[in-house]
Amino acid sequence: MQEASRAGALERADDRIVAGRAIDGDVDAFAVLVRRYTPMMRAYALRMLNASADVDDVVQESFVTAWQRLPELEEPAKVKSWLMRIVSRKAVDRVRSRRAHADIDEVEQAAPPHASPPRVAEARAEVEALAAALRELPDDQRECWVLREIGGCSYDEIAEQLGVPVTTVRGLLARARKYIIVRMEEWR
Amino acid sequence: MTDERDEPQLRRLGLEPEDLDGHTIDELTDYLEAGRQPADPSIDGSPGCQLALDALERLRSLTPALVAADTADTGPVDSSWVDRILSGIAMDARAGRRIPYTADDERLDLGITEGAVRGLVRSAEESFPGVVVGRCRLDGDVTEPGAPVAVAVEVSVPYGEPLPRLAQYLRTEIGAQLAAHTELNVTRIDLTIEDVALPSEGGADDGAQ
Amino acid sequence: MARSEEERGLAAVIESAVRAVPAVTNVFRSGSLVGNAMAAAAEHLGIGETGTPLVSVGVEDAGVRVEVSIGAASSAPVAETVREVQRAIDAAADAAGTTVTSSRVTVVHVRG
Repeated sequence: MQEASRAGALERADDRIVAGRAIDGDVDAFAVLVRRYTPMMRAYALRMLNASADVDDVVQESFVTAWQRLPELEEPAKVKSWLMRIVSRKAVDRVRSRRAHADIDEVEQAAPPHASPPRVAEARAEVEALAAALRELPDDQRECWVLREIGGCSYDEIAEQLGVPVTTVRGLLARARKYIIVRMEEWR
Repeated sequence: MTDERDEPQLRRLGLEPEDLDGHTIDELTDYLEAGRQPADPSIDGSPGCQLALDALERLRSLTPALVAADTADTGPVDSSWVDRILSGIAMDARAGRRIPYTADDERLDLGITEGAVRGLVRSAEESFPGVVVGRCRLDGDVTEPGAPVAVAVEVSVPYGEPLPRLAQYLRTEIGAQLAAHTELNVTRIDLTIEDVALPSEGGADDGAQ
Repeated sequence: MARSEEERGLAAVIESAVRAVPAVTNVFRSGSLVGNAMAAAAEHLGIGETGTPLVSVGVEDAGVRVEVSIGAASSAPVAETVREVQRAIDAAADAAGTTVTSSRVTVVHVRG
C-alpha cells in the first residue's frame, strides 16, 4: 500500500521539511522528530543528570514542551539544536529540584541505563575514561562542560541557563577541563 | 568537591599559570577554539602551554566519540515510547482558521479546519512515491466564501525527476484535492522545491544545521 | 430527567447517527473551533479513544444546539459528507422528540 512508502519517505526527509510539517500540526511528522532525536536527547540528558533514573522523564517532558513551542521555531532546519536547548533546560531544572529535595548525596556513580559489554579498543577506553571523569565532576562543573562541549552553547547561553555570571561559567569550565585531563592522564 | 583533592595532581601535570608561563587554561581554551589565531608567540613559544594545548585538543576530539557512544547506548525508540509522548500533547492550536461550506439554512454552520485542508494538500504526495510535502500555507481570507486563496507548499522531491513536469503534476493533484473537498477559490498554487533527497540519503544528518 | 442527563443521552444518540454516515471515519471531542485531531493520529498508531460522548449538545427551551467534529474519508467529497452528517443530526434529534436549533459540523481530519 502507498502508506508504507509514504511513511518511509517522511522518515528519511530533511529536518527542515519534517519540522516544517510538525509546526503546521502534522503529528506524524512530529513522531518522526521524536524517533530521530530521542537517542541524542537521552544521551545528552544522561550526561547532564549524571544518572539514568530521570532521563526518560526529562526527554518526554522536553518533547511535550517542544510540541507546544514549535510555533516559535523560526528556522525549521535548526530543530535539532532547538531541541537540545529545551532538553538542557529541563535537565538543569531537574538537577536543581533533585538537590532541593534530596537529603542524601545524590551524585550517583550510576552506569548508563543500557550498559554495553566491556570495551576493548583503545579508542573506546579513552571515551570510557572521559565518561567516568564526567561522572565524578560536581554538578555545576559537569553541566557547564556538557552544555559547552556537547550542547555547543555559548558562554552567555550557559550563564543564562545556570543563572550565574559568565566569569563563573569560565571558571567552572576551566576547573572541569583540568580535572578531566588529570583523571584521564592517571588512567593512561 | 573541593580544591584540596585537585591541587596536588594539577601541579604535577602543569595546568596552573605558573606552569603555563602566566597563561590560564581558560585563555588556552579560547586560543584553541580560535584556531590558534591570531598567533600568540608567548603561547606558541611556551612548552608548558603546548603540552596543555595538546591535552585540551585531545579532550576536545573525544567529545564526538562520547556522544556517539552515549547515543548508541540508549534504549530502543519503540512505538510505545512515541505513543507515550503523543498522548501528552494537545492538537487544538494547530487547527487554524475555519473554512466554511455554504449552507442554505441559517441554523447550519458547516466547515473544515485549515489543519484538515493542509492534510489534504499533503495527501497529494501519495500519488508520487518519494515526494514529501512539507509546510503548507493558505494565504487569503479563507473564512470568507469565494475570497481568492493562494496555496504555498514546500516539497521535497526524489532525485532524478524532471522538476518542471513533477511540479505541474503536483499542482494538478493538489488543485484536484482542494476542489473535490473544499469550496475554496484557489487562484494559485506555489510550490517551493526545498530539498532533493537522494534515494538512499537519510534526512537525519547535520546538514540542515 | 435532569437537563444534563438529557444532553448526555442526546449526545450519545447523535454520535451514533453521525458515525453511521458511511464517509465519517471518526468523531472527535468538540469544543472551541476544533476537536482533538491528535486522536486521529493516536488511533492510527493503535492507541484508540475511550468511549465518552464526544458530541456537544446544549438543550434549550426551543430545542437543541449541536456541535460535532468529525474525521472524513476522502472517498467521497467532504462537502457532501458534511451535509449528510447534518441531515443525520436532524433525523436523530427528530427521533428523540426534539428540534435542532443550531448545528455546527466541523471536519478536523481527512483520511485518504
